[in-house]
Amino acid sequence: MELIDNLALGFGVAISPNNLLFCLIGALVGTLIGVLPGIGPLATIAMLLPLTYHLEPVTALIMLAGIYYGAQYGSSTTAILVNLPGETSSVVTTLDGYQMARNGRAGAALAIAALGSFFAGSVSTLVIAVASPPLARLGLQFQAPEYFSLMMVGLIGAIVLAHGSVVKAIAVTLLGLFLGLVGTDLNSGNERFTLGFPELADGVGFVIIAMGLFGVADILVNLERRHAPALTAVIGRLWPTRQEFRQASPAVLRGTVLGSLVGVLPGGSAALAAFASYALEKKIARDPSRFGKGAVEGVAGPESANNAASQASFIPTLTLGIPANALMALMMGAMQIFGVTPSPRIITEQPAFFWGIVCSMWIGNLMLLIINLPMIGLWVQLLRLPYRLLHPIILLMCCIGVYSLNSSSFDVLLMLVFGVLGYLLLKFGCEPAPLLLGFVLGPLMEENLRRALLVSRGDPWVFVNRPISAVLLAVSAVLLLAVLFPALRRKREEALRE
Amino acid sequence: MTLTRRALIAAAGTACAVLALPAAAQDWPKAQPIQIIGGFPTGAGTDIVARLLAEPVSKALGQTIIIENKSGAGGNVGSEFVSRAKPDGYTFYMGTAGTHAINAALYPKLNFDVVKDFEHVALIADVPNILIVNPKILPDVNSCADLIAKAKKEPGKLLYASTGNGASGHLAGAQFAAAAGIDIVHVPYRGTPPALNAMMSGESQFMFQQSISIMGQVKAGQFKALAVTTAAPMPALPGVQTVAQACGLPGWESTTWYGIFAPKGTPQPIVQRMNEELNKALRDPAFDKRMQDLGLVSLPSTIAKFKEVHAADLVKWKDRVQKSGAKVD
Amino acid sequence: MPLFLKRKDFAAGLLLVAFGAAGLVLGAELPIGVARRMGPGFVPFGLSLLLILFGIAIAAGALFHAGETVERIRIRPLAGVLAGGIAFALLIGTGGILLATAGAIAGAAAADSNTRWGQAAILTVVAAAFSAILFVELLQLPIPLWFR
Repeated sequence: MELIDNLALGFGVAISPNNLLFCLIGALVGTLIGVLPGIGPLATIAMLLPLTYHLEPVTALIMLAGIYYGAQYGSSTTAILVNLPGETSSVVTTLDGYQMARNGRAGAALAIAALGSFFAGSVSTLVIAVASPPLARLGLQFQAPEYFSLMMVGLIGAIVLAHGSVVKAIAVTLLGLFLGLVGTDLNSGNERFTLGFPELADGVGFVIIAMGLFGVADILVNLERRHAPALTAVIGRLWPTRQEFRQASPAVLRGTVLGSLVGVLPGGSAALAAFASYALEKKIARDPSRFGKGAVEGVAGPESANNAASQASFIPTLTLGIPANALMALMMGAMQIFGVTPSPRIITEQPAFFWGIVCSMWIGNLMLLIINLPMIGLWVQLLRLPYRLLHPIILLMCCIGVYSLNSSSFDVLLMLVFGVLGYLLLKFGCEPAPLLLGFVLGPLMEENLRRALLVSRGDPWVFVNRPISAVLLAVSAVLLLAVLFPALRRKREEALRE
Repeated sequence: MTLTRRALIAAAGTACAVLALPAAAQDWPKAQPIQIIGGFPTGAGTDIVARLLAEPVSKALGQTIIIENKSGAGGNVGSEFVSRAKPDGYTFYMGTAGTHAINAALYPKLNFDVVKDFEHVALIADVPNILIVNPKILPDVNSCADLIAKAKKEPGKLLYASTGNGASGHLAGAQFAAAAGIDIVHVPYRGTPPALNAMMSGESQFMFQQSISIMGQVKAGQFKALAVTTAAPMPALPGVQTVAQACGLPGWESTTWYGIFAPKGTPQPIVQRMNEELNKALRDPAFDKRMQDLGLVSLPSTIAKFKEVHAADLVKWKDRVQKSGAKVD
Repeated sequence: MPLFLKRKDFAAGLLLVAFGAAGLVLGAELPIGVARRMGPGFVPFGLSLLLILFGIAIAAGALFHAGETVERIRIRPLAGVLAGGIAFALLIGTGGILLATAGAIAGAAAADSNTRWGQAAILTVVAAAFSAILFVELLQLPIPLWFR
């Protein structure tokens, strides 16, 4: 059994006291920066990089990886407790997690997020161990047409996210696509809608828009209600009920599978996995109207999916030397500084390094579970703080988080602008969540659409001639019909009633 | 949120320490940490090199060095910030041939002058581009001559990737096409990761890519290095010829560099001292080995030499940008 | 004022039309190109039109169907939170994290009619010290503590 030998080798490396210690440090630091909105793992890893020069490469990488997945755990905590998504992937968690907290189920939501993440992390670690090379090859099947069609599925998913008017959801998604256009056009170099600000030349940062739409807008709406929101009213029991477990388990399973698949694609992000999982859960739920009001599946599925995806994104990095995202690019830079070259030969040339990291991921996930479960009681206490003390802290965290991205006051002001936009949208009965997905996917879609046409020399059939792309487009067509038809039927019923 | 009294006192103490007197040139650097600004995101080549340099230089100067990245607009956001910073010897800039030569030609209007608003401190390293193909996608292309022959046989068919419009890889490609008399199509990507991905999946067939991000893949044989764009071969890639040799294009070169700048008016003694410390670090064999592993060629040199290289590059890149037709506005 | 003007859908429609119109005006000079070889203005032009279309459809819906009306916009929370954020943005680069923290919290506190100023003052001190220690000392973010 080669796999067992490999895992034995890996665990041998991972459980050396030194490696365990740095794994723990990484997990702790990651949790901390994850809980603090805006301060992302990217900046933290970059800052800690020089401190790791004197460590063994494998130890350093174990710590840096710990920060990465620790941050994923941490960011769901603020998403659930105070509606602040610190990472792209926890935007979805705010939808039902925050509502659970308002219903007095904060403890349950945190516990389910932690358990779901642990399960997904364990499974995707195993996936990495068993299937890295074939999965990495699958990822290479994806070219511009496939990415465009994949984004299309994601975009239709955005419309499923909203509860309420489908037309408004589509319109808000379009607004997100529109905001995504701000910046320098990739193909021509023309600046679009930058209003002459050089700070906008690379577009609006995701964290800026998320903090504005969720953090600041939420404060504005809450303060306007005459009575302070009933955040403090009920805390309820900490542990999930048996029924909540029953609802969450299958969602965790589906989220894990979905997340592992999306994570392998270079450029497929944890956020896309989370969005897809949410759309799936809502679609197959017996009563979709519970979503957005505190449905357990709406936390369990996406949380598992984003954790599975973020770990699976190590696959292309470790095996092909192709970073899946900016963070993986930084990790690759780190490996190179340590003299480890990420390439297909890494598994055979440096087995102790490869398997040591894979096994430490599982240990790190276990540590995170052990750190996080007892913390839940503590976190929930935060909600006992009266809102008049809580909202200044939230505003401050948003400001510091956004400023820390690029040391730019302009970004803080921009966040306020988006705060006002989010406030107006909420006032006018529009939900901001689909906007965010449109914003993330919009530029990628345009880029891949134009690239696909450039590479195919203007042949539009490229999207249906390539099998993977065709299947994805078919999926999005079916999804769209599934969304539209109930809406149309409802409209007709209303019309008949009148 | 709890806080101990000791922590409060510590914070108050630090606040007082930072309030200390402003620095004069002779006792530089004393009062405050030195910051090196980068114009590209955290984790980019400039960031990695700045962090590598920070370690030995900060030891030699006895002062903390903070790396701060103000990325955006191809480095212009960072350049503009530094051009307006106080010239007190506590702000430096990790500039590149991109920020200080290419952008001057690429952007019709900049809010600063790449020569007049900066002091040249030290040239750091040459950053060669490597001409790469994926051997799985183009198995019959074993040399630059093969590539040119293939492009001549199939005009307008071969696609070359770049990390963006006006990036050095784009300009090198355009310059290459013009010199070799071939018709190739430019496909821009948003940064290095997607561009390399396209090289792996075969969406694009070849590219000129900065050495710092592909040394590993080249050494592992995942990408085949056909040539390097520098005037001399790279020590870290023995056996790989220059474009001039391998492609039969005498005189062809396209090199970018990293260099440290300071805001105009920074006192000369400080600039001198910084230049010496940076050169000392670059000359250290262990440090140089690290740079080589990253695919960089250390360039310890005088301030005058840096000015000369910069002036020559301004002319060269202006011409190349015009000929390539690349623009940003 | 006619009732439909106060409906949420009408306001939402107007907001979308405004974005679409701004897109058309600001994007007027971008070359549109053709579908085969799209210019940088192709997608912005299409999206702007779609936004206007959806905006008009949603606003028109409010003319014919009864719907919820927009609740009154209160100035105090809006002004306070924005003032806090702006104060933070202006102070952080020059005055340092301690002052910027105080500015943000003062603004946020002023936004809330439930604020007890004694508590807010204590919160300011605690939060300033906390952020100074956590962000500047421990996480080493490049933010000054105080005036440089």
